[in-house]
Amino acid sequence: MEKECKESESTSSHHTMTPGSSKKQILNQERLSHLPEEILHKIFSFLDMKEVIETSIFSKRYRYSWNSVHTLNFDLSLWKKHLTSPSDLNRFIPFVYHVLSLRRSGGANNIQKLSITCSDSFEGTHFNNWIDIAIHRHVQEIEIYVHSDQEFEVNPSIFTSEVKIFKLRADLNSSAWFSRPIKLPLQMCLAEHLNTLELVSVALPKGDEVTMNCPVLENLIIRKSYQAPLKSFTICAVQLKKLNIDNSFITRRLYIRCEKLVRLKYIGSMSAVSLLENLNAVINAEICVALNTRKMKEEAANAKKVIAAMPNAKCLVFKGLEVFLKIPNSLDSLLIPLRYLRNLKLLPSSRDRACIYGMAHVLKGCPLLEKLAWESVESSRITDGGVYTSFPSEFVLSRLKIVKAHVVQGRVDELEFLTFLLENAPGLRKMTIDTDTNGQIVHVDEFEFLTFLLKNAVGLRNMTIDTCTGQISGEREELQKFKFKADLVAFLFNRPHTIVSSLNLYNNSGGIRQIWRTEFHFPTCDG
Amino acid sequence: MKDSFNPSIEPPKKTVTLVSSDGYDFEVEEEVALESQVIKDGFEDKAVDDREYLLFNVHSDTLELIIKYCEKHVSSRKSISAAAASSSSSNGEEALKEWDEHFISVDTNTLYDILMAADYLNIKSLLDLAIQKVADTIHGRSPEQIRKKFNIENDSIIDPWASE
Repeated sequence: MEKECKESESTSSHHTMTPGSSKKQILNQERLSHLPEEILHKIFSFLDMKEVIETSIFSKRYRYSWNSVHTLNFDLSLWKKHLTSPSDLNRFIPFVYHVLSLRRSGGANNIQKLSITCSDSFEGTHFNNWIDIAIHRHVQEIEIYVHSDQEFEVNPSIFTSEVKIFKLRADLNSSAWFSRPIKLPLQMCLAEHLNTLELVSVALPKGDEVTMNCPVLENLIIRKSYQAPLKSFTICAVQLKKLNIDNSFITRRLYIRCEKLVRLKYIGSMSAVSLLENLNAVINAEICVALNTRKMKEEAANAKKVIAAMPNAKCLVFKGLEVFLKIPNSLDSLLIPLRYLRNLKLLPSSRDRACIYGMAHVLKGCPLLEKLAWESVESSRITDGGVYTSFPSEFVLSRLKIVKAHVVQGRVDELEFLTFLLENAPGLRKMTIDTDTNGQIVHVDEFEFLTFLLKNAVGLRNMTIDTCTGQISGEREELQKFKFKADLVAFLFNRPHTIVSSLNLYNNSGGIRQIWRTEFHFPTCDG
Repeated sequence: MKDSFNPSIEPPKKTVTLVSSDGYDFEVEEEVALESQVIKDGFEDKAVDDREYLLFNVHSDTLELIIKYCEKHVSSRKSISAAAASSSSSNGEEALKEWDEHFISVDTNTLYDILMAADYLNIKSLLDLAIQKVADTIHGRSPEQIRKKFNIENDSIIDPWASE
């Protein structure tokens, strides 16, 4: 980019040509009011209705503009006299009624989106009344975030109206984790215009067997929701593209018929899932198998079936290796059906050491993998041992370029696994190792660990290591840092043929990132 | 290891000339200019040697910023897609977000200029960024503070909370 003229005639032009500066001075008087209505409305759509109405005292221009805003946000938390005092429901509720009912119906006055956030519990009938008013103003999108102990059933007219997006998230007291005071009507299952439905911590429609049959539904999220006697739950949505379902409570039988599904996220028992249609369109999948120690074999068999049903998946996040650990050869073939798999993330249990070997066996089934990540997670159940006690031999991950390891604790088996990868992935370009274990004491000597890695990192071009030294603070931390750095530099310069072309070190302490950062650059060896 | 990393020598880039309201020429790469939907629409119909755009509503000071924004977005989009499968993709997006935030942290007059220019040139991501910034500025401020911040003259006769 060049500012050609400006440079050539800089001195003269600035004295003679002053339209720019004079323009600025005029506009200085009043900028916001001259914004086009469209932009003003966009700005208002980010604000709470209370704030929008407060702008009406700014000038005559704004006096009525609030009345044509398309997005109405109401947040109870803004209705406080002081920061610590409770929100003023007695003013909030009439305010919402007032704003909504003053909206004339039709044309430009239609409401596009209604969003209500309430951190206090109150009569559910108010919500339903507001929804009714908004529906009369042809609302397209409704979002409700509510903290409620009061039982109520959601206004069924949402599902018969032209509402396209409905999100309902309840925030529950942890003491009442099993109760779901907000109930959904049966009409939900036949919503004709709904494109996106998100339900969190609510009760699903009543009935033994519930079937959702929504012809234009594209996104469905159901989390932490359930309903006691539900025997089977069927999702029949021909247009569904994204499904995120946490089936921990919902049902023992979940039938899925969604042939256009692209993204699937499933948490829960695998033996509860029955696919009525193959998931050929799925590209992204995230599967967390519930660890039920009594039904390990059944879970494993069904998880395998579900994975095999999405042969075109490119990205997979998988948690639940543990269920396979006792079944010989099951892991080696688990991912073979996924012939396009490029990205894989595994979440092995940090307490099951056999998982490390299991991971290596899983990799055997995906020779085309380009990126691998793994993160050890805490899990309550421990399976005692397994049939996988060594790394598989004789295979090459020729395409593997990037490895990311999170929550590495520096255990022997982890180091072995890293070595295994370094040996079997000749094209490895980048490895990120992150030893952040959320404040836990890490029994890993960072220097030893690094030495180990660098010795083994043949051909690796870029290595990033995150270290978290949560326990050390103040001056000692400084000392530690310098020692670590000095040791490392000494080590690297004594290395005869340095192949690592850059090494980034991050120190993450107490949540503050990037206390220091050093980059080492080395000449790459030619030939 | 002779690098596949070294960028090969590329042919000279095609450029477009943008002329600001106060008459300054800015020569930018074609793909940078195409960030603007207004320029993109009907770009192909224009003769190659006639790719000059007179932007009557954009002052040179603002245009400089806008070009900086578009250049950054074009280049980081490239690096993100180059590292598409890699872990750096999310880092790249995060870094860009940080850059955006820094970019839009300007005084209200400049913010207004950017807002108007982004609207005029129809650069959606920049318009959204500027709008969000204005909204953030209004958030949590009293009406009096906002009026001061945006230099809004008080010609109002009503007070919506008068009943209190």
